Parts: sequence; C-alpha cells; structure tokens
Amino acid sequence: MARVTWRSFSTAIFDCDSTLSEIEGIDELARICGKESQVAELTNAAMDGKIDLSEVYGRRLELLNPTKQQVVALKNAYKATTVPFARELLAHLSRTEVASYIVSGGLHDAVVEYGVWLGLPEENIFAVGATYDPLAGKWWSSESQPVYFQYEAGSLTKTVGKGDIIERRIWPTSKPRRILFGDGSSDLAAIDSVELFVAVAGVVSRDEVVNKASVVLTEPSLASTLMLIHGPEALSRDKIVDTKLLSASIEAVRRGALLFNDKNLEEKFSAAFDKAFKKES
Amino acid sequence: MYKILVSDKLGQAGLDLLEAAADVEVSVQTGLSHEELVDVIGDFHALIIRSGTTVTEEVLEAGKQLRVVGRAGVGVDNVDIDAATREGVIVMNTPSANTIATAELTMALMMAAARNVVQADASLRTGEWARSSFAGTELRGKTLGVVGFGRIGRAVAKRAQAFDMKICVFDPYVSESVARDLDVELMELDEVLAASDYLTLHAALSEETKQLINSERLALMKPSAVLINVARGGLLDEVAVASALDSDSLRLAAIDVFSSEPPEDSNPLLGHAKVIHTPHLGASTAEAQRDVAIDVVNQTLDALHGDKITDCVNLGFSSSMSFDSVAPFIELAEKMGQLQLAMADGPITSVEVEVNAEAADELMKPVAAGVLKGLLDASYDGRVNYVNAPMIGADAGLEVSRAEGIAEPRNNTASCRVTWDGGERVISGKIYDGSEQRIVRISSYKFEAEPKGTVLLMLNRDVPGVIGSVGTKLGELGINIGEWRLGRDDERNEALSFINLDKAPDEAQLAELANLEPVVKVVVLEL
Repeated sequence: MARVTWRSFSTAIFDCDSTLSEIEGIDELARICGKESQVAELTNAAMDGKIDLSEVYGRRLELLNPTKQQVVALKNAYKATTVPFARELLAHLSRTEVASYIVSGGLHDAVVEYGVWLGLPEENIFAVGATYDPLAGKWWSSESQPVYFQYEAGSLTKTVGKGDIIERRIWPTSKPRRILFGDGSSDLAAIDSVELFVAVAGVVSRDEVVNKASVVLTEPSLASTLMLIHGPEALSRDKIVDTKLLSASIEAVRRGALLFNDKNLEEKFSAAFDKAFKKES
Repeated sequence: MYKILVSDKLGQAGLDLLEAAADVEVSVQTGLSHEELVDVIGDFHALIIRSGTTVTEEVLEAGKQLRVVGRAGVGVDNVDIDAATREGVIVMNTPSANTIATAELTMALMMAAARNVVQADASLRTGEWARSSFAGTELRGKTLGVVGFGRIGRAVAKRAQAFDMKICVFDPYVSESVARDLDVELMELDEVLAASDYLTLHAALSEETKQLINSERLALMKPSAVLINVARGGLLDEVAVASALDSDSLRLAAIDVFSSEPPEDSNPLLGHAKVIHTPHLGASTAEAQRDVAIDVVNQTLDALHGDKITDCVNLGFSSSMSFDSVAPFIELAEKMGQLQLAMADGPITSVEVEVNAEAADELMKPVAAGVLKGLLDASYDGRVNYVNAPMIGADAGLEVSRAEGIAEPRNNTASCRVTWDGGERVISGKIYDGSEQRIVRISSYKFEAEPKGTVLLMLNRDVPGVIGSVGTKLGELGINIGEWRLGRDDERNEALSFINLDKAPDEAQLAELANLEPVVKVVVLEL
C-alpha cells in the first residue's frame, strides 16, 4: 500500500484583495471615488507593516466617503479582476466538501457580495461591516444614495486580527488541517492559527510575507493550490475532478507556480506529486 | 367627506369601490385640459390618474386641499414629484398589479421577433406564401439581457428560463444572493449589452436612466440582437436606435412605448421596417386593469383616512417595511420633535437621529421625517407632514444627520439630539410590543412616560415635598393629574417631571406653578 506523503486539508481560507482578485479593494474604491493617490500611500504603508492597519482604516474610509453604489462598483471590479481558476477552484472545493472561507479586511458589502458570486455561502465570508448614513444629501428623494458613515472596528481592521477571526469564528465549526492563502502582513500574522500558510505573491509580492511563509504561490492563477489543498494522491484518485482545473493545476505545479521555503515540505510534496502524476515520456 | 377626482379612465372595479366608500364624493372628469384641471383641482382631496393626466407644479399649487395623487400604474414621470413633495402631497403608484401583464407582453414580443410573426402575417395578407423568407431562430440557449431587475424584470427572467434562455442582469441594487437564488448572472451594463441576444428594459425613467440606450451603448450590442422596450420610451435614444437598425448593427426592435405618446409622425421608429410595435399595451390586460384600479383606490382611501401608506414614491421610505411597523416610530419621533421644540432654549440649528432596532437603517428616514415634522409644524401653521417635512427642513437650513452612541443602545428605541446656539438636548423614545410609545429619556433624566394628551414638563430642585406642593397647586387650579413620571439627576440635584394632565393650565396658572419655590422651569404642550 502506498504511503501518503502529503495530507490534504479540510478547510481553505482565502484573503480577498490581491489573492482571489487582482485588485486592492480600497485602492479600487479610491479610483472609483477619484481619490486614488492619497489612499494608495496609506494602504501600502499598512500592507508593508509600517503602520498598523487599525490606524489607517478609518482614515481611508473617511477620505473616500463612498456611496452604496460605489461599493457595488467595487464588487463588480472584484468580479472583473478575479484571478484565473478562483471560481473553478472554489466550486471544486465545495463539491469535494472542503469548507472554504474568505477572511478579508475589505468592506463587507463588496467582499460578501463578491464571495457569494464566487460560490461561497454568506456565513463563510468575514469582512469589515460598514454602516451607511441614509440621511445624507437629499435623503428624502428616492434617488439619493446613502453614503458611508462608520465602520465596525474589530479584529479585521487590525494588522494582527485575522488569526482572531480564524480561531474564534472558523475553528469551532471547521474540520482540522486548515490552509490559509494571503498576500499581506495581516495574513502572515495569522500564520499560527492555521496548519499551513501560503504566501500569495503572484499579484503583489511583499518580501516580508514571502520570506516567512513555508510555501509561496508565484503566479496569480490559483490552479496549483488545488494540488496543495487536496494533495496529489487524492486528486489522482478523484473521479469527480474538474479535468480542466486538474490539468491546469498539474501544469502550474510543473512550471514552478509553487515555491517552497520549507525544504522538508517540498520533499514531501514533490514525492507525492511525482508519484501521482508521472510525466508520460 | 373626501372629494376625489378621477381624471383618467379607471377600471370599473375601482370606480365601484369608490362609489361604495362611505365618506367619499367621486367626480370622474376625463379629458380635462391642463387649464381645466388647474381650475377644478382646488376642491379635491385626492386625484386619481393614469398616464394621461400631467400633474404639474401649477396643478399641485392650485390643489390647496390636495393630499394624495394616486397613479393607477407604475410610471410617475407625468407627475412633478419634487413639487408634490414640497406641497406635502403623497404620490402613490401601483407597482405590483402590472407585473404579469408587462412580463407576458415582453415574452410575446420576444417570440414574435424570434419567429417573424408580425412580418409573416403582413406578408401573407398580401397573398404571398414566402415560407423561406421568414425562417426564424429559437429562444433556447440564447442570452436574454435584463436591464432593471425589479418585479417585472424578475417575472420576465422566470418566463424566459422556462424557454431555456440564459439570463444576465444589470441592476445596481440587486444582490448576488438574489441573483444566485434566481439563477441569473449580475453584470455591468456594458457586459450585459455585449452578451445579449435579446435585451429587454425594465427600469424606471429617471435622470439616471434617461436615454440609457444611446448610440455608444447600442454599438456594444451584437448586430444580431433584438432590443425590446415595454418600460418607458425615454429609456431609448430613438434616433440612435433607428440608425442602428438602418446600419444593420441591430437586427430588430420591439417597441411598446415611445418618448412621446402617441408618437409623432416624425418618430423614426414608427413604421420602421425593422421595428415591430404596439401602442403601449404593456399593462393592457383585463386582469391588470382591474387590479391597478382596485389597488389605486384602496391605497388612496387608506392614505386619506391616515390608515396606512403603501407604495408612496415621495416619502423616501424603504418599501421593504410595512407601514404598520414604521408608523409607531414616526409618531413617536414626531412627539420627540415637539418635546425638543418646547424645551429648547434657542433656535434649533441641527438634528441628529439614532435608531436602535433590527431595521435601524430602514427606520432612519421615517424617524428623521417624524422629528422634523414635530419641530417644524408649529412654525408652518400645520402645513407640514411626513412627506414635505424633510424638504421644508432643508429649505429652513435645518441639518439632519445620523448619529451613533448618543443614547444607550436599548432595542426599539429612537433618539434625537438637537443643538441650538449654546446648548443641546437628547430625547429618546421606545416602542413596546410593536406599538406602545414611551418617552424614556430627556437629557439625563430617565423615566417611562406616555407621550399623549396634555403634558406638563417641570424641572425642579430635587428636595422633599415637591410632588405634594405641585400636586396641591394643580388641585387648587382644578386640574386633574393622570400620570406623574419623575426622573432624577443626582449630580445636578434636580428632577424632571413628565406629568400627564386632564386639561391644560392657562398662562396665569402656568405662571403660578412656575413661581412655586423648588420649580426651575415649566413647559406645557399637547402631544
């Protein structure tokens, strides 16, 4: 009997911005609102870990003061910039009973809507709730739009908060072996709350995050992550696999989409992969 | 006795209901000119119309008694909504009754377009038997783009799905979970245009949607696409549509509505070879005509009687909440506004509103309108109602905004903070059991008082014997006390009494109360 060298994961947790989608939501919202330069500066400082997220969160939103409709435009921007194979991957995970979650510091109305479109149940999506002021502008006319009023400060608006959400909200109902995908320092900060953290560097590469992760995804496409989540053995046996996704996954792994900082892990993974998907030549 | 004018042809079922109403006098006068309408409107409390009557600012100003305009049907672009709002006239429509009729006509036009029914019929009438000229295409597997996904758009989608069509939707107010539940794809407008084999419009006509389908947007559509419009003529740039048809960049247009109706002879779509058209028949089914007439009459009577307000287009309230669940909050808010006005020590410059309830977002506007009515009504001879209060407030420079954290977050409470030069005050009210109104806080004083009838508010130093001396004085004046609620502020060593009286003291009597030793201030008001 073949020895299993790569154990599969039952729970997959994704960051949203620059992971499932190629944009940073708040920068895109800034573009939609026409205030990109002021906001980009603040965002980069936060994602590089120079300032704590909780400091800039409110400042950015106050600056933008978005209407609900602008937040809908943000959702559409997320949809339009979805990374390759994100939808297919999430659909496959749901068919194979891997629970998927999104944990994002983005705005609730945009991220949850986007996550639902990707195929996740609403309760598996965590993002920052914002309230709107229905009494803004000409509020008595039916055409006026509520504008952003106040966000709910909490774990997701702090650099170190994602781990809290994962431990308090996801652990109690999810099965063990949890894998987290993300690009930012707030994702890296949750490294101890999961069994494996994968730095997503295919959209934006942040040295601090890439250096500390055991595994790095080097391309925007999520196809190769299917192999990490299910494990090559399980995939090679799986009869209901999405063949297009699977062949993209095999190809991506072969072209080096996954980079291992942890050599021990790399050995296990490569052994399993080579055994399961021997090159026919 | 309410006088109601019906100025367009209304279904018999509606007229019967009006005749049967006990306190209503109905006058049916169809075909009035604008001048004639301005002349007669002054007598009436309500006006019931369809699309034929144009209700201008002049009509609304002449309608001194007018409280309701009821539109049998959906589109209200023939009513000056801003002017109605300013005059405090409720404008209502009947959005649900037309739904199926309009959706079915959309299907009829789409199928007629797919199979060349109209053109083939015309050809056969001339004696031709041209089977090969009229070969059609199937709807199965084609993509239907739906612009505007309200009641009608959804009804069309459901029917088209039965024909195995793929549905893509543009509607900025529809959520992904609704889209997923109904198995449609939400897209941006441009994407919908590019993807559609059939494009159907179901949006209201507004500044945002006027000429939504213009030449740039038409250029995004497939040359093989069919455009269907049973919503409003103004959604299309008709000249651009005609030229898209002429240049073969659009296959066919199926049109039930025109920018002006009846369309002028010069309308480029009228009689165009690549247009199939009908004379605004969307709502013209026996069932819909009966239902719109019944709905508009019921809604108008309810609004006149003050029972409830349904499908009001200028109240700015969410239609997702029933009037019954909103009404107690509006009334309570109005009383909070009256209390604020009575107790303020200067002209009020700003108002902040906070609602703590499950539907806080939906209640925010009604509560703000109620507070404003309470604040403004006395200064405007009772001309202020929930419809015009916000506009009158804005004209008076009274700013209203949402606040958070001005009061304890107790469930089903509404709070307002008003500010005047040099001071501010918070008043909170609570709704019990869905309808019982209580004032639970005024400034730092807490109690549970019923805001009803004659109320005496008294601020006094918190020393023994006050209730006795004030009670005795009221007794001497022959004024009976119903309820006495007391809130204390230990820090300031003062107490505020909220006293329900059977009748109001006159000014001299009020002065006697104010002169009692521990009394700091008294105010009396009718709630």
